[in-house]
Amino acid sequence: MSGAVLILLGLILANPAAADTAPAQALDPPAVTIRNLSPAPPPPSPSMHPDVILLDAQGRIAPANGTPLSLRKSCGACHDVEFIEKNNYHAQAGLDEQSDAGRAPSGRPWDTGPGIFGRFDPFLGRALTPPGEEPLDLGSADWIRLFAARHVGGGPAERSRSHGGILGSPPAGVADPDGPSLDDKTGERTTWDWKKSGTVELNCLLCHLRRPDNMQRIRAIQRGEFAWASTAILTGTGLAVPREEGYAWNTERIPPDGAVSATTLGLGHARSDNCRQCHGRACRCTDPVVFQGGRDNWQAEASGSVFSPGRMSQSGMNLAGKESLSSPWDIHAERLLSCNQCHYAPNNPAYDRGGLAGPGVRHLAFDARRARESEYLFRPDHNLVKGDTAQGTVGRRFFGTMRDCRDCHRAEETHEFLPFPKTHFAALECTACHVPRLFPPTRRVTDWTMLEPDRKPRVEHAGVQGAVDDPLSLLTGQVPALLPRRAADESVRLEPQLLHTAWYWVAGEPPRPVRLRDLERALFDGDRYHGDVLAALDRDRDGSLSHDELVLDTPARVEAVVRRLQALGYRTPRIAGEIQPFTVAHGVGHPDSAQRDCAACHGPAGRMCQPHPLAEAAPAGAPPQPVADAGLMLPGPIVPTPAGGLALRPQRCPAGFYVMGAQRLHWMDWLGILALAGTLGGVVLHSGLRAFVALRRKRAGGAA
Amino acid sequence: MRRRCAIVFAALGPLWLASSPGCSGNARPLDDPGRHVRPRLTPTDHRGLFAGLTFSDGPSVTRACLRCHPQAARDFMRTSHWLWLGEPELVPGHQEPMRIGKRNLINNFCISTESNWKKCTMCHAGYGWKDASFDFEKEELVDCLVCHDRSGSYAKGDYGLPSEGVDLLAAARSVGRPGRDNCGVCHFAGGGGDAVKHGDLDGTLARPVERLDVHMGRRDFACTECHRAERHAIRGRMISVSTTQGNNVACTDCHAPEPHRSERLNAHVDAVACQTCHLPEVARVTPTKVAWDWSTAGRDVPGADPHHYLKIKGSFVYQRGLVPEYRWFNGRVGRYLKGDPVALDGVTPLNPPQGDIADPDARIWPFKVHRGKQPADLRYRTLLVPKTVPPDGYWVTFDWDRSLRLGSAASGIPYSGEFGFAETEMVWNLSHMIAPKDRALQCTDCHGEESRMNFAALGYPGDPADMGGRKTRRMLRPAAGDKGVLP
Repeated sequence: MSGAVLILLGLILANPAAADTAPAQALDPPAVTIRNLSPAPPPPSPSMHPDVILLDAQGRIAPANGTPLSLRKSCGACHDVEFIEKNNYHAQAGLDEQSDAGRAPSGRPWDTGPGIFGRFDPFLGRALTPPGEEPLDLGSADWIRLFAARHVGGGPAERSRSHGGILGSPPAGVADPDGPSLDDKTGERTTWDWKKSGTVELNCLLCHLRRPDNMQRIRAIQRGEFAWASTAILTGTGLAVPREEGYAWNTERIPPDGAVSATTLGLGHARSDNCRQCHGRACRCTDPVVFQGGRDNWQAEASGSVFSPGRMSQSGMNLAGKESLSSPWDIHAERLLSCNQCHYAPNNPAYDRGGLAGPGVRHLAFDARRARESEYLFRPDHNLVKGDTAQGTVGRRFFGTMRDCRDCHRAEETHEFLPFPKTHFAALECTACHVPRLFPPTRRVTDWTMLEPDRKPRVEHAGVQGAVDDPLSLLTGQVPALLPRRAADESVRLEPQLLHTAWYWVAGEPPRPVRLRDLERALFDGDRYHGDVLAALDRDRDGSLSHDELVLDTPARVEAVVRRLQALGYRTPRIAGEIQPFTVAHGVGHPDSAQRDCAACHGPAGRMCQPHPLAEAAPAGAPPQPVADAGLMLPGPIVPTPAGGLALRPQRCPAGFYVMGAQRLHWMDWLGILALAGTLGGVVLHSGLRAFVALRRKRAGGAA
Repeated sequence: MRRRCAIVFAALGPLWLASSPGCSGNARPLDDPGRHVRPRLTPTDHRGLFAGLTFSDGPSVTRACLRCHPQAARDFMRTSHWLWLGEPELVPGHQEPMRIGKRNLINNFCISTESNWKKCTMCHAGYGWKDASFDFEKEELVDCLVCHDRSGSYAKGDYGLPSEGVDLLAAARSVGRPGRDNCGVCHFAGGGGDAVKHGDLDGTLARPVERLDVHMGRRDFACTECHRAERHAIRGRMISVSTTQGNNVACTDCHAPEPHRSERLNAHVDAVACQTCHLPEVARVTPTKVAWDWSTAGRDVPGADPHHYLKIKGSFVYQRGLVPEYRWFNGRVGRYLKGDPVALDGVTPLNPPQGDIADPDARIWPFKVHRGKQPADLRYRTLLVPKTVPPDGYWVTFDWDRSLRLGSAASGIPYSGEFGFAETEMVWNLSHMIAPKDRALQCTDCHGEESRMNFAALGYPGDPADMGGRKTRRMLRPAAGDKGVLP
């Protein structure tokens, strides 16, 4: 019986008509059979670059040997990489401008150079330790890893600042001066194994690859796999894949001779997107711009620089009055200029204007002689022409080599509406009017004197209501301060500046910054603030420190931390404050968005008369001063605000500029009063005499 | 005299200062299109004009209209809205001038009016066009209501007759100046549904926001603001049914020829139509049909999305936010006419835009391109007209051969009995859905590496921003009458 039931059940299950109670499955409709449904795509740009043989540092086929790619060898087969690396302030990063500590242009007693290698970065709070000094904060290997996202390789990532040779290869019998390093986890001093890590070569591909995998490059460097950095950047092409340690070559895509076409690599000229890898939002794309702070977008966070053709109204940011912001983020990007069309290689025959200073002879307006294309391609000078800004301190000898606004624009032709145009052009940078407002929130304060619970500094941003990384925060924008700055050619002009104020601890004599790791030890006891610090700063006595309480705004609170630092062995710890101006050089909007309201400057409420906020809160007893190499000239004192912050209060005509309507000249006022009184007196005297004479005549006539 | 001068100076001095551009920040506007817009006339209220009248059919309404507007029907009957034919014109590739229009042309949507009057003439501004014998001289057959009904209740059915249950008296009492929805009844729904045919005309324009169409959304333009009518002859041409652009509407009817503040932008106007930049995309809300493949019709596919497949019509592709295709266009198009040869292996353009990079009259225009695959005679190598409408058309019988024989009899196109399907292409120049200027294309949309413009296909050696334009490169051929001097 049970067998029969099973058979019956089996038959039912085997019968699809009986078992399938689900609705009939819909058939796929027949697809359109038209062959060309969309127009033919435009042909790709032709590449004339020959195949590249991927070689390792020994000149062998890198993929065949599983060894790291050496661009010095691979690119060096045709280009003079040695020349390119040496004539390249992006690579040198100040290595070729090193000086003894305290003699660098910044004036900081511990700086050894003007570039990111040797110049203190208050955004990061870490200082490259001068050779031979203790305690160690950043050794060469530490610096390479910390600046992985901002340095292209070569220079100090490859050569020793002490002996000039390759890192890890000191002269015989000499201890390696670049060996000292700090262990990431313990903070203990250790010796870097250069043989294992290798060095970071100048990474040509970061700028010349269409889709460089920069994240992998940074990852390799931060993991200490320096030699693999050039290979890592090819991960995006599918030619290399990351491994647990190092990288592996995808030999299925690479022929045995190691020759890969330029098209496969995506080789070409440097695009704005390449610059964006390190300089932040500098894209040529039309994607909506989304602001993200942090080290990978540091240029936007510092200088408000967004070099994008997209319209602000179509950005992904919550901008105040967004609908009406039809101007692109930068008109030059919108008008098809890429970064390298202004910041070009000086011996590029297409842009060279006959030597850096012109033809140099009086009878020539233009020198047609140029490097031949082959010469240029063999030795392209990578000291790209640059402007003159307060923050662009590296490669000082190249300041002002770039064509500036007036070299391309005929301002006189388009400023008929402007009274006294020559006076304005002589006194003002064009950006003063053409970048009237900046919308990216920029870092205004970095206060390293107290740390947040996550060990980060207290920061303030300008131009944002709410947290800077919150997409719902309203970006109100900010009007840059219009301040005089002395340029490298000694000229002084009013430029829009964003002022970044930083406070940090220094100790000893000559002073050196207190190491971040030591500061953490001073302020924290495990995961909590140290009891002494808590007692001094906990105003509401709730047993914890809120964000607002993390300010050393009284001498007593400063002293509490001083004592903690002294307990760690620091002598005379004290707070240093500095102002780093960032000249606004990008973000030029559409001409319609330029400042055309004369009263914006020429009036009692003009921007040059108004106090400029520097900080909402400030540590006590440490008035900040501009860094020496910025050329900034403050037009008034830095004064405390009633709310406990700091502001720059202009008091006098900045650097001899007289801003009509905005500032008073007392002698001019007195001269006017005297002129008026003299005129009135003359009129009264003249009319009185006339009346007197007439009266006399009348009397005389009457008598007659 | 001296005193008078002082008073004049005192009075005018401040005015002079105030008018000085120095501090005002207001530059003189280059373009003042508003002054070209005609004021709207207030229409006569017709609510009390039909006392005691009842209307049994459409012609009875027309007869009532003609009592007060006796010339209106005569005027209208000379227009292409009535005749579905244009003036005689010389079609490129043909020797004799001929009158062409919706009445006798083949397209790659529903293919042809001939033999399909039942449905096609729902959009004819007349009553009862059932076959080729329709009397185009009968005034009472003119449908006044389709354009002038303002009640919103009037609708047309088969053969253009009023739909069942329409209150003709209410419609007649509502008449007024045509609004967007009057034109939209046919022009938004061309091709058999909303947004199907044009791409830049669809139901969203009935009540558009500014972002959708700046003229209609910001200025509340009706169609007739631009498509002005003189004695019922409405300005405007469509290159689907006409080969010339005479009597057309142009941006420069209201806007200055070089309306931009930027010289760089004004330098484009000789080579680029206004619409090219000011129409970044069309079909912004409602998808438009970009491909129609008749060859797959006739299969039972239960549950198929009607926007992808219909048994009676075949397979389709719709697209929203359609980025136009760009071609040179000098205002004329070629036109495939009945009996013309068709490419069975390639693509036959039904209305190819005329002009090329060397043509000084041609500019780069944005087009919607509709790609079709439609019946063709394999022996005679011509396109065929199927009868599709009920009671005996393809939509009922699903018999291609029979439908083509019926279509052949109505259209006069010989049919050998051997049929296949040929690929065709039809272009629609785009002019509506103009975006606000702050949403127009930017330089980087067309120039640079991520360009939407195929400059090679347009005849340029490369991106003209890098390589120079057609004037700079001396690529223009002398216009007729020129003595060889290139601009």
